[in-house]
Amino acid sequence: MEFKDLKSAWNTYSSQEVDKHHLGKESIHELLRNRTKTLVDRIDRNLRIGMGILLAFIAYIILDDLYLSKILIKGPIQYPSWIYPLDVFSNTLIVVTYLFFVVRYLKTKRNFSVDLQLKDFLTGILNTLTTYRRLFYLAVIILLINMVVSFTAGLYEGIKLNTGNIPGGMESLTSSKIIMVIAIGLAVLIPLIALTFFTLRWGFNKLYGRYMVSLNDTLKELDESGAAD
Amino acid sequence: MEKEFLHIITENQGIIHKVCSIYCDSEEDRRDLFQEILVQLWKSFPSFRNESKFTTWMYRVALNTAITSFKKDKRQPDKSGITFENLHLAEELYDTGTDEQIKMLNKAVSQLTGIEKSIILLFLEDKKYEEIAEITGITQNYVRVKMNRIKKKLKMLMNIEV
Repeated sequence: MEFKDLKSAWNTYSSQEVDKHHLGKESIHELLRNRTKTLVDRIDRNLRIGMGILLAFIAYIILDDLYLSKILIKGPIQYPSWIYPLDVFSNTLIVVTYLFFVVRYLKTKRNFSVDLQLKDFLTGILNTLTTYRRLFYLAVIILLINMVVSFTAGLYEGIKLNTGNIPGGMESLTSSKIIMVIAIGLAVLIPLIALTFFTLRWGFNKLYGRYMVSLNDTLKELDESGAAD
Repeated sequence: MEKEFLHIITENQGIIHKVCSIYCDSEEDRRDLFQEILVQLWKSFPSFRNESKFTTWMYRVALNTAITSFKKDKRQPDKSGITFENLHLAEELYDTGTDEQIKMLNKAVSQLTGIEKSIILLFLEDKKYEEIAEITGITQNYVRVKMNRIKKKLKMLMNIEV
């Protein structure tokens, strides 16, 4: 067989296929009416839902720090002074990171269209997925920071409460006891943090890991064009 | 706008069917991809500005969608290409009728990567390198390089003269 025979075989086959599957205007209209969301649409929807949930969660954390705790807990609460800068730092970091994601998302979305050149289109999808993945990690980081700050404050309050009746208060605790308390706390906290992190990472990779690898492979194949020139 | 879109798509639906033929193995995948391409065309139709031919734009949207479409729970075909089984098949079917040639073509094309499929489709549709480059967004030089590689692959898979 020669290459021209291949073209001829293709022409015969493709004509048969086009005739076999030909649709009228009504059928095409029907397909458009019953359209389901494409993968990119679904990712985009999930991203927006994720951002909404994160925004609500961030608002809750900040409201809790500023108002809710004061309303719910009667009486003075005295946290160690070093908790405050840690709290302000973590809240600022969360808000700034969140805003960075919103800006990045809007930028990616503004420049994204299916009629772009393939390379730009692939990069657009990968950027959206990367933003989505980072949003996952941001959610994890917010949870972790919140857990660590709450754990530290709780640990401090617990020790203070339990040593209130002992003469000398907290200062009377021996270093071995302090280390033991911290070790028990960490033994609970670290598996919890690891479990949250790995569950979210596994979930993301399960959903989109193979797709991202496939997109990256295609992009690499396209990048060979630079070498070929 | 919807009427105009339906008219122009009905007229040129062959492009979508050909793209589906080259990228899909089953009727179910084919229907899904056809609908996905149709939706993407409809969504990006307002951004078509007559800067290129409508068919060029349509090929680009269809191929972009096909290359990036996600087949859930299905293994990717073996991209390594040439296997003894294929070579044996090629020898058996050498210089046979059109039906066998079509079978061989389908089997061989299924071994190609997404980008290779798009290039061979446009080549089989008699598009010039310039237009292939415009549709795929890769340079003409690279289209030539790619085309030579694809021809070599197909030669090994199907015993064709290039």
